[in-house]
Amino acid sequence: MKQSKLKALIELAFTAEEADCLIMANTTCSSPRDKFNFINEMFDFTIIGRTEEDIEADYWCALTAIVKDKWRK
Amino acid sequence: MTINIDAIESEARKLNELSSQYYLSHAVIGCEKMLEKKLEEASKQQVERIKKAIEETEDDEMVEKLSAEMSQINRNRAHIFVDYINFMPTCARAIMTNNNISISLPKCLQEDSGTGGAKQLRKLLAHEIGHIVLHTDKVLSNNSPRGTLTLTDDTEEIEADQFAKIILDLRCEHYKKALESRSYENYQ
Repeated sequence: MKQSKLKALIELAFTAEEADCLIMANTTCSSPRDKFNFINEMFDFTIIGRTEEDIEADYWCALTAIVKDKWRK
Repeated sequence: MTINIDAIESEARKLNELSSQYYLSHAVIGCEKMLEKKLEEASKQQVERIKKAIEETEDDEMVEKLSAEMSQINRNRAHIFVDYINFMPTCARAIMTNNNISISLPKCLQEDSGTGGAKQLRKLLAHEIGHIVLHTDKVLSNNSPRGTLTLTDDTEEIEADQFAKIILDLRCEHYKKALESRSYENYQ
């Protein structure tokens, strides 16, 4: 799948879980770090605060923020 | 006209139930207000310039262009949202996307109302509010390229912890005073 199409479908997903399935099915990313690096490369987001280091938490929080962003403009 | 009291009550109950899932809501609203004030102060000169230019021109196209510039200032206003996240250990994040700040909290704590879940959620939320109040200036003002990730450093974590402790104490004091003075009766 083209990157632009994948990006649009991730943004239009209703849940972070749905977006995660798209990433798993259309990229070679498997670990939370790979998936985090992938979305970090594709989307604009900034982590302002984190109470403790956990790449999986970074991934799910960022993905949720991306997915919910369409309702918040 | 018939008023459906049951439907109104049902909506009020739904709202009440949803409201009880969120904590420190006054602090979140206050934090948004602080961000608005910061934007207002930072953009005052720009607004003055646009206002003067609109006053001086008779060119419709120019007015349109300047109005668009004005809308751009408004788009810089940050809004805060609170999300509960699945698959998350007991930690929190504050993430900015398109000037929306999402505070992410663990869903497992939201469901854990019996064993101090609410207390932990308040602590985590207060910590992230601390980051927003103390450390967002640099994020809001920079034009970082796509995909840029800014991580907080140790000093900022200590500052956010300290902020959380103080704001939680202050809110607690506020509730105590309200109870003592029975001012909660004013809510009715």
